[in-house]
This record gives sequence, structure tokens and C-alpha cells, in this order.
Amino acid sequence: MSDATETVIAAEAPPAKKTDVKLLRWTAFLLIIGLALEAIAVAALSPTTFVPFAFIGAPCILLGMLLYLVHVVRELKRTKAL
Amino acid sequence: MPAVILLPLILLTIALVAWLGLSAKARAAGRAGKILLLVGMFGLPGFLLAAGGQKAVHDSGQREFCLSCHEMTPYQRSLEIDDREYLPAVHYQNNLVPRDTACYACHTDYTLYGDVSAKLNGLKHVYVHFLGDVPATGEIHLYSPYPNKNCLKCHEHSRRFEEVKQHRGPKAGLDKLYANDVSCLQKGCHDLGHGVKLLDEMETWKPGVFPEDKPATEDGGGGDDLDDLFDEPSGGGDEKPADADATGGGDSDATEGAAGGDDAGGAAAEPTKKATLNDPEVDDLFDDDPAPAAPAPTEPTKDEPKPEEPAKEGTP
Ligand code: HEC
Ligand code: HEC
Ligand code: HEC
Repeated sequence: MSDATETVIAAEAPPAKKTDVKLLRWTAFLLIIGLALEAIAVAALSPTTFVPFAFIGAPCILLGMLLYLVHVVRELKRTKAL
Repeated sequence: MPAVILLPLILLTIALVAWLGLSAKARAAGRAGKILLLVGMFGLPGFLLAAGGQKAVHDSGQREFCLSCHEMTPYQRSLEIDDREYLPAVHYQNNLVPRDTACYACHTDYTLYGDVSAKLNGLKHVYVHFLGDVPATGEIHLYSPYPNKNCLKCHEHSRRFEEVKQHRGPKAGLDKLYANDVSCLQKGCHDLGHGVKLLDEMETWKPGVFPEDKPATEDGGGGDDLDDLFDEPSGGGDEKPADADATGGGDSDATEGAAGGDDAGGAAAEPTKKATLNDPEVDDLFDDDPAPAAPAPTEPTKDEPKPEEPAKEGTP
């Protein structure tokens, strides 16, 4: 990851890498699934909507947020802020 | 947070996240994009998860939610039983528990709201509901005995409660009740729960419906809204409180049968009589012999958690 050897000025870091973009897309994917299930549960709460939200939706959202944090950490490392 | 706000917010966030995901490369490059990513992929989802989770937990405490599973609907009907000996009925009909959250008010330790094992029980219900064999009406049983604290959270140290002499008498005792050493529901005390097995033989009571008040007019019109609350397949008051013993069975058939019969007698004798909370009849509840016509106390008891005395009687 930190193979960048050139001196980096924080403001103009090198462009994001492919893996980072992928990571963000995964984040978006998980968040959308989770939020969609949440929207259904909020619109019409019943056992049939609550269970998918609780057991699939909520974990998806949490995982998405976690991936976003991974992205941030990578980004900070890349820009040598960490 | 009400759904009218939450729902649009969720949908907007979904749109934002989708856009961020599609344009991830460009967003990750600039400062503004990074802020948007922070908000859209972390801040908003985190907030919405908390708000949505809170709302879901709140809504699942509503009576409506409990009733969204068909196996729970007999318990709704049991709230309409026209016999104040039945605890859920008397509490519900007199608004002693909030109507909207009636079930949860007494089943406070139920699933989501209870400890870890209660939550696991909730999972089991969901499993049973969707994939398992749903027990027949009246065959559902509490996983663990009903804890006094569910009653006591409302009744503890209340004057009405402590002044009842049976609560201080030999079968109970305030300390033992407070410590859950004896159950509020023991035989001969408050042993009439939902009585779901006897529903078809029970008279029912619904708010706003007093057929005896206006014998000349038909009782259509009013109370339509209320009727929606109680979708009762067999229609209002035409059930006969006939021979309650016929289908008895279950935990407390002796008393339930007797109470049903008692109710029938009362209805026949004086159909307009409706006890209210301040009615002197309240005291009847606390008489030594709770159901006057009941042969119950002499009946052999079967499967209930036992108070001490009957057990002693049985041993020799
Ligand atoms: C006044 C408090 C009260 C209210 C209100 C109440 N319950 Fe109960 N419920 C009880 C008690 C007490 C028992 C235990 C009865 C027993 O052990 O005989 C019980 C038992 C049950 C049981 C286990 C089966 C049984 O009959 O023992 C189910 C299921 C149940 N209740 C569902 C509900 C639902 C659904 C609602 C709302 C429609 C509700 N209850 C409202 C007090 C209440
Ligand atoms: C997913 C459908 C469903 C919903 C919603 C539901 N129940 Fe139940 N409930 C069941 C099933 C199925 C059983 C029987 C489980 C068994 O016998 O193993 C049950 C059993 C029970 C029991 C007896 C077992 C125990 O936990 O001690 C109580 C009490 C109860 N439900 C109360 C409630 C209350 C209160 C609500 C609303 C907060 C509610 N139920 C909502 C399906 C549901
Ligand atoms: C949400 C609060 C709440 C809960 C839970 C609750 N009660 Fe009550 N109950 C009341 C109120 C309020 C009254 C009316 C005042 C009074 O009698 O103390 C009442 C009245 C009663 C009465 C007198 C009924 C009548 O005919 O007037 C009995 C008996 C009773 N409760 C027993 C119980 C038992 C047993 C439980 C547990 C299964 C229980 N209650 C749970 C609030 C509650």
C-alpha cells in the first residue's frame, strides 16, 4: 500500500487507487441494501419486514460503515498523515 | 422520529450513497468529495441506523405489532372478555394498561425488551412462526413462569395493593410477593389469565357498545372505528356462555369453568350491570373465595406451580 515513495504534499495527494474505488463501491452497495431494508421496515413494520432489517439490513449498514473507515485509514496512510 | 421524516431521509441517503458509489473515483480525489463521503457513507447511515432501530423497537412494543402474528390474535380477543376476573380483560377495558401497548405493559420482559435469553426466545418465536409448528390456540405456554415484577412495576407499594388483606394473608405476604417467592398467579389468587380456550363461550365487552342501553334502535353506526380494532370473526354478542366445562381443559379449568358459569348467571339475572373501578364490587375480587359459585378450592390441582399449603395437604 505505502509503496508511494515520492514526497507527498497533503493537499494534492496522488489520485485514488483502484482498490480504494472498489472499497467505496462495496461500501455503497452494502449501505444501499441495508438502508433499503430499513426503509421497508420503517414504512410498514411487521415481523416480515422487521426480521430482514434486524438480521440483514442493520449488519449491512454496520459493515458498510466499517469499510468506509477502512477506506479512511488507507487514505490517511497513503497521504502519510498516519 | 416519525416515519414521515425518517422515510424520506432514508430514501435521500440511498440516492446520495448510490451517487457517491458511482462517482467514487472523483469524490475520493477532492476535499469536498471527501466530506460528502464522510457524511453519506458514515454520518447519515449511522444516524439512520440508530433512529430506525429505535423506531423499530418502539413500534414492536405496540399491540398492533404483537397482533400481526395470527397466533397472537386470540389474546387480543381475550382482552374483551366480559368478566373482570380475567386480568388482561379488566386491565385493558378500564385503561389500567395503555391500550396501544397493552401486551407489552404486562409482558415487559418480552423478547426485545428483556435480557439476552428473552431476546433469544423472541428469535424462537419468529422461527416457530415462520418455519416451525405453531401451537394450537391455548397451547402456547410461557417459557418461564410469569414474574411478579411485571405486575409489581405498577402495583408495588400502592395503597390499594397493600391494603388487600389476602396480599398480607397466609397464602401470600407482601414480602414474599415482592421477593417473587409466591406468585401473584397461584391457584385461588389471580389465576385467570387470558382464557383463550374458552373464548367462544365468553361474553365480550367492547367500548361504546351498550346494546342494553338502546333496545329500540339497532346498534349499527357508532363504534365503527372501534370495531376495526377488534376484528372478531364471530361477531359481537351472539355467543352463548353455554356449558363452559365442555371444552375446559388446560391450566385452570376448574376456576375458569366456574367463572364462565358465574358470568352466565350474572348476565341472565342483570344484563345491564357493569362493574366499574370504583364499584364496591371491586372488593369481591379480594374475597377469600374469588368466584362465589366456584367449587374450585376443593378441586384437586394439577400442573400449577404450587403454593405451600395444597402441597402439604397432598403429601400424607
Ligand atoms: C394484565 C396484564 C396482561 C395483559 C394486558 C396481557 N397479558 Fe398476556 N399474560 C398475562 C399473564 C399474567 C399471563 C400468564 C397466565 C398464566 O400463567 O396462566 C399471560 C400469558 C400470556 C401468554 C402465554 C399463554 C398463556 O395463556 O399462558 C401469551 C401468548 C400472552 N400472554 C400474550 C399476550 C398478548 C398478545 C397480549 C396483548 C393482546 C397480552 N398477552 C396482554 C398478563 C397479561
Ligand atoms: C413473529 C410472530 C409473533 C409476534 C409478532 C409476536 N408473537 Fe408472541 N409468540 C409467537 C409464537 C409463534 C409463539 C409460540 C412460541 C412457542 O410456543 O415456542 C409466541 C409465544 C408468546 C408468548 C409465550 C412464550 C413466552 O415468551 O414466554 C408470549 C408471552 C407472547 N408470545 C407474547 C407476545 C407479545 C407481548 C408480543 C408483542 C410484543 C408478541 N408475542 C408478538 C409469535 C409471535
Ligand atoms: C401497566 C400497569 C399495570 C400492570 C403491569 C398491572 N396492573 Fe393491575 N392494575 C393497574 C391499575 C392502574 C389498576 C387500578 C388501580 C388499582 O386497583 O390498584 C389495576 C388494578 C388491578 C386489579 C383490580 C382490578 C379490578 O377489578 O378493579 C387487580 C386484581 C390487578 N390489577 C392485578 C394485577 C396483576 C395480577 C398483574 C400482573 C399480571 C397486574 N395487575 C399488572 C395497573 C397495572
